[in-house]
Amino acid sequence: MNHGLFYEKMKAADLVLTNYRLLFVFPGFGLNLDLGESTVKQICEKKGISTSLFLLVCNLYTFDGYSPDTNTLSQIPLTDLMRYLKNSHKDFLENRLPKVIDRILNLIDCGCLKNGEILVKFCEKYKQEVIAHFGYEEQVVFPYIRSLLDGEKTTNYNIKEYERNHSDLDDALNDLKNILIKYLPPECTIEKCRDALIDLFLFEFDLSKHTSLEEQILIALVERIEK
Amino acid sequence: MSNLNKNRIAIIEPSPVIRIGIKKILEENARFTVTGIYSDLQSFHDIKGDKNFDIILLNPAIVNCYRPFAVRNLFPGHPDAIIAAILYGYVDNETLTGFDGVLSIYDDSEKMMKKLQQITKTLVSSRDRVNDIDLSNREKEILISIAKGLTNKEIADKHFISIHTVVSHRKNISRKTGIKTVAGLTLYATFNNLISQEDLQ
Repeated sequence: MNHGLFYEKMKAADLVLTNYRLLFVFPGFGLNLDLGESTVKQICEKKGISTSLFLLVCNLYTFDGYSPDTNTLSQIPLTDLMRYLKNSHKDFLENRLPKVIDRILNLIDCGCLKNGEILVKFCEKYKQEVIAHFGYEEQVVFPYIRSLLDGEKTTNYNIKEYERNHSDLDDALNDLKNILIKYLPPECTIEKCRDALIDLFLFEFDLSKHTSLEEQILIALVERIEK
Repeated sequence: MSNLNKNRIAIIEPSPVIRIGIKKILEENARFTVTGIYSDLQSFHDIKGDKNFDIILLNPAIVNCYRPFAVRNLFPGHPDAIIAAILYGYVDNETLTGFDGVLSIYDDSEKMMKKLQQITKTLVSSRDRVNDIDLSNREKEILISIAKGLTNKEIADKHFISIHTVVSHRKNISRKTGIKTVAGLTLYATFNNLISQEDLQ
């Protein structure tokens, strides 16, 4: 059933007007605003983006429980998907995560937390986890997929291994959210802490969508060419 | 199966075709009985009669003017009922926040049934847990050891318990606090003054 999903003849601006969080999807496609009255298809063609991939990502980010049918899936170019994932890794690491961490460090700087040091350590450790997670994908998984696409035989790896080892970046974020919501001292007023939390929520949401893009789409596509 | 053991369902849906269709499909299963059919919220509240429902199926289009979290507040007489959305197509995440689950009119009877049974199950189990939130003193001691970075084996030796018991304590601590990672538990312990930063050096 495709009722209510985004489609290629829609105006691209309407996507963002419907779901502003797609603003976090755009950098992965190297897409800026300046959308004018162009349709999704026009924008994608102008920028050399796969329309099917762009719509898939936007739909996945916007509609709960959306899962593409086999026909939609077969139109997704793997190289474009990997490029998108790699670009969003960069955005996560260079823009999103530093912003979340900065907000949390601000809380410590304003003096309302006496456990600042541990919180700093927690953030630093999490950042290292994210770097390692993305690094593994870019240095092991993506090259493997590229070699598959080139028709080179690789016997020492398959995508099942990635599926098994896909570590969970979600748990730590969830823990941090819990602690900030439940146990911040009263000196830490809502005005001081809400921005940190809102950024944390947005980051967590985007990361979970990024993960489902990898686990639902990337793995499914690679399994097809492994056979 | 007598009517007493069935899940009683209310359907609130503007389209008569859909209302009657869903009733028909659901009643193919002996576990469900549809005891109320309404075209909108007004008639749900106005029409007299037995309104003891276990499940309320509601088309979110008719509550769009309300904020999503307020969906439950629309049914003050049914604090324990499951409220599921009837969908014609995809809607954005936020509209569905207040609902316990989702049925699509494109689902066949088997799929609808499955979804409803699943929602019933997860909801009952999450409600059972609500009252059990405070950590016991023993759990606090174990938590301190976890926060200090001790392994299960070391914790078992230190507290004279089996590794199996350590694991079960860890599970309960995570369930009660909502915190899963060791780093998170360390934060929890310091924020709750169970240990100080110096203890961790």
